[in-house]
Amino acid sequence: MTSKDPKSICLAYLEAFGKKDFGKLEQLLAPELQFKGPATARSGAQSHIGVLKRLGSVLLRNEVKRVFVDGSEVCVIYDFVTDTPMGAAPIVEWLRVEDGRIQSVWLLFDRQPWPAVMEEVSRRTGPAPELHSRSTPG
Amino acid sequence: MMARETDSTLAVVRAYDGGWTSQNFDQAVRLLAADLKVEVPINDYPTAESFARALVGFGGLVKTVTLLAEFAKGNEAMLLYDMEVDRLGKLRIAEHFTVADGRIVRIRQIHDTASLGDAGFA
Repeated sequence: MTSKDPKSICLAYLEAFGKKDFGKLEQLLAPELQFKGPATARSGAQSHIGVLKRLGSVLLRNEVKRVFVDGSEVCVIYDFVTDTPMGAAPIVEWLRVEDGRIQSVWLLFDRQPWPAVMEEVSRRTGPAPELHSRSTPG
Repeated sequence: MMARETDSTLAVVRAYDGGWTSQNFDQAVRLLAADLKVEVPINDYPTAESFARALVGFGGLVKTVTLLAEFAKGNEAMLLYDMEVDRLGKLRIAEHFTVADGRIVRIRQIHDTASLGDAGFA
């Protein structure tokens, strides 16, 4: 059972992603989720979960470093720890929660090391669907 | 107690941000502690002076800054903003501050360096 406060929901989202519990992720994300990363934007929880499933193939865990909360908005600094030569990538995620679900995700990270990681993701999970074929996850 | 510390942290960070984004660099630099630690994805600033020089140099190229969100808790604060930079274009930055005794003792930036390298900043 996840508490309905925004901080708990956002931490549960990162934990579920780290554990590759995509059923749990579906419960935490609003169906009409809006995502914005450094290079792309997408709509819909299913589209976002599709990307997270592929990234899960290299993810060891998410290590949360800091959490800030302002009403329904949460900002998390964490390391996305992979089993690739990149190792850990620092990520900032700014999330908005309403009615117990994450409505929007704003993600910031350095894209520089990601093309090699995404090549490894493709090697492990097969060619990316056209929607997810970028050389970075966001 | 925590709320008062949070307010004071935000006041310092806002004054720093307001200083350098309005090219009032003296105001911004006065808020940096002598033993400032800086963690950025590119370049290296071992001293407060070296960071202050970079702030003045880079800040002079910044055309607009749009603050997207600010968060604070205790002696730490986070600013998320978009910048329009001469020769570079748009840059999105997350900046994490730690404040002690009214001055910034640590700055950590997370941003995308792809375009910085292309523009010769790295």
